[in-house]
Formats: sequence, structure tokens, C-alpha cells
Amino acid sequence: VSDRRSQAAVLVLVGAMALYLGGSDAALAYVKAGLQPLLLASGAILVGLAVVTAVGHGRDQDEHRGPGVAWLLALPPLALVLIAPPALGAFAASRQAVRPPPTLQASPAEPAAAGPDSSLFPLPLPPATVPPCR
Amino acid sequence: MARTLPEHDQDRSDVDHREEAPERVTLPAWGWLGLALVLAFYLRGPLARLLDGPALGTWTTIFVSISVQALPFLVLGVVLSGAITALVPPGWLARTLPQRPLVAVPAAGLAGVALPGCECGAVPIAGRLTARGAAPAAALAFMLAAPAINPVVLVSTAVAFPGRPEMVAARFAASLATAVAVGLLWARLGREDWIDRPRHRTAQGESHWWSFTEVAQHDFLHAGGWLVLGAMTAATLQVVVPRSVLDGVADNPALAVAALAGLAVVLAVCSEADAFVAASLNQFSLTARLVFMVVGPVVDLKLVALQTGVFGRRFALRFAPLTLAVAVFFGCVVGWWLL
Repeated sequence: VSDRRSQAAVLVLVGAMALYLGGSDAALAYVKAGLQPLLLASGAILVGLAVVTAVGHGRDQDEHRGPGVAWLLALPPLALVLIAPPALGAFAASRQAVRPPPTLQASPAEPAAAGPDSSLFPLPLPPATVPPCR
Repeated sequence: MARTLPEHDQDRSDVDHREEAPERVTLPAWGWLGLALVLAFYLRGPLARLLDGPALGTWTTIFVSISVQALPFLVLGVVLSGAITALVPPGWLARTLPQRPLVAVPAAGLAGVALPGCECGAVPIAGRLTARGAAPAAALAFMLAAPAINPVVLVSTAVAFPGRPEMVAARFAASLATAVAVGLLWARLGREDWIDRPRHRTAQGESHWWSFTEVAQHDFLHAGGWLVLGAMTAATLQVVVPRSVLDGVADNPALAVAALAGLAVVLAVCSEADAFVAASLNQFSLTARLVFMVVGPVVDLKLVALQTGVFGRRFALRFAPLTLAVAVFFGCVVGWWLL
């Protein structure tokens, strides 16, 4: 993460993911419902930090080079965009049998109220029977 | 190619080799990020067939789950550590600590409770403490204790292990014991010339607000990246490694402890997030997972690199093995006692 705008972009991306998951039922595949207000708050903080980072200082010094490992932070949002929504759709029925290991009792097949894609599929989606994450 | 600006002459040879449009080379990093996101959004339909498969779905769920659950605690931690950096005067703790090691080391360890932050933040703070005249042993005890036993870490541990408050107690006891024992050992055996005089770096002229946002932003990007790496590894362990191998390692108590201690060193997950990684390794005994959470905040690859930078190589080469041995010892003892 070499410059301030990139740092801000990563922060916005993660913050947006937190806000989205904090406000939608899609998150219930991944976290407990009780954690959602915390996700909303941390998303707001991250977006705020991003704004300050992007507009702040106005002097783009070399010493503010961020760590390269920070790019990895873009992966969870990308994975959410890329892989989770298909799991809600056409293949949901065939995925029924597959369960993640017992501690993380979230199944990719069963977010309760599906995302925007759910209305496109005539197959009724199974209700979330497993409480997420113990 | 013709459009390449004169000041990009150095780039031109690279560009020629790759035969790509020059605009791509000049696209800033954040532009790539946006491009990737847009592409991902539009390609997810076609990609769904490629990426379909129970293993990948399970991997993604575990990966996103660990990352997302740890996120609020990471944010809380960096906000608090930013606030402390901005508001607490740098010399305050050094002045407050007593001088005699026998008193100062446990006091410094307990002071770690009050200062949330993850381990990447604690190393420079310890460097600042020694630069300001605190006994090295006390500063080191503080450095080991602060990331392991502060309230943010304890709460995140309680959330990751619901219904198991003894896990929180065990983590607190083992981590504090490790920090104090290493500090006392260092006071007894350590030599002054093993520690490079930490370079004195202060951000003078920065307002409270700016130093707050700088620290919070930097710590989050750093720790968040390592958290994602840890989540990826944990998910891969669960999905790729055959269940029989994992169970075989987990069933042997000594092997399980050694495996998770090694994993903690390699993974370098931030202390505010590592409880969620530990909770996901549910084949392993609670004691092995406790060792993971005790070792993680005090010694890992990232910390050794940081300590080398702040205190010098002679220090890091001696300190890391000592800390690892003490942490594994107390993790096992407390696990056997409490869990």
C-alpha cells in the first residue's frame, strides 16, 4: 500500500464490507447477530479514517508508506462479492449436504434472507436452521 | 506506446517487454483495487461456474467468518491505541514505573492491562520506554503483557469461546506469568550491550488528532493484513489438510501443542483477532489452543522483525527463543491447571 489514496481505498473497502454485513441478513452466515451493531460501528470508523487519510495532511510524504501486507485486506470483500452470492443461488440445493466444520456453524448455502439474487431463482431457499458460529 | 510521457523513459523498457498499454503501467494502486472490484462484480456470474464447489464455498465461509468476526475488535484496538499514543505523554509510564526490577517488572506487566493495543504497537512503545530510562526488563515485561491481557483482547477471547470463561482466565494468567517471568529472567541474565539504544523518534509538532489518525490507520492496515493471512491459513488447514492428518496431530497432546505453537509463530495474527483463529481450530485441545493464544502475542515472525528493528539483532536472537520457551511452558501449565 504505497500511497495515501490506496490506503484510503483499502479502508473504504473494508469499511463498506463491515457496513454492508452489519446491516444485512447476509452477515448471519458469518457472524452472530449480536455482533452486527459492532460491525456497523467499526465500518463507520473505518470509513471515517479513510476520509481523513484521503484528504488529510495534504503532504504525501514517503514516510507514510504503508505495509504491503495491508493489500490482503482487500481479499475478504472480494471473496464476498465473488463467491458468496453464487452460493445463494442455483446450487443451493446441491450444497445442502456440505457443512463447514462444527465450530463455525455457518453454511454457505443458508443465509436466511438471501441477497438480491434470490428473487431470480424459483427454487425456494432453505431457511437458516443452523445458528451461525456457535 | 507513443503516448508514454517523456518522464516515464525508465518505464518504457518494461512496457515494451510486456506489450501492454502504457495506461496500465501508470494506473495507481488504488485504481487497480477499484478495477478488481468492478471486474469481480460483473464477472461473478460466469465465474460462479468456475468457482463452484463445496470446498471453495466452505473455505470462503471460514475465511470471511474469521476475518469479519475479528474486525470490530481490531478496530476497537487501533482506536484505543491511537488515542493512547495521542493523549498519554510519552514519558509518563517511564516516570511512573518503580526502579527496582523485582517491583518494576510485575508492575509493568500489570500496566499492560490498562493499555490496549496489539503487539505491533507495543514494540515501539517498549522502545520508547527504554529510551526514556525505564529498566529494560520492565519495558520488556510491558511489551509482552500489553498485547496479551488488555481488555479488548480478553473480551474478544470471551466472544470467540462462548460459554467458556475459564479460557479468558487461563489466557490472562498464562500471558501475565509469561511476561513477568521473561522480564525477571532478563533482569537476571540479560546484559546491557545486547540491546541497541533504541532510536529516539518523536512526532513533534503533530497535533493530537493527526497522531491519533496516523496510528489508528497504520495499525489497522498492518494488523488487518496479518489477520487476513491468518484467516486464510486457518481456512486452508480446515479444507485442504485431510481430516485424518489433522485429527492425528490433534490427538497427540505434545504434537498438538508443538503444532499450534509453531503455527502461532508463523501466522503472526494480531492478538485482538487470534482468538477467532484459535476457536476455528476445533480439532485441537483447549490447552493447545491456549498455547496458540499465549505464544501468538509474544513471539512470531512479524514481532521478531519488529524487535530486530527496534532493539537490534543481538537482542532479537536471544529474546525470541527465551520467550517462546517460557510461553509454551506457562501455556501448558495453566492449561493443565485450569482447562
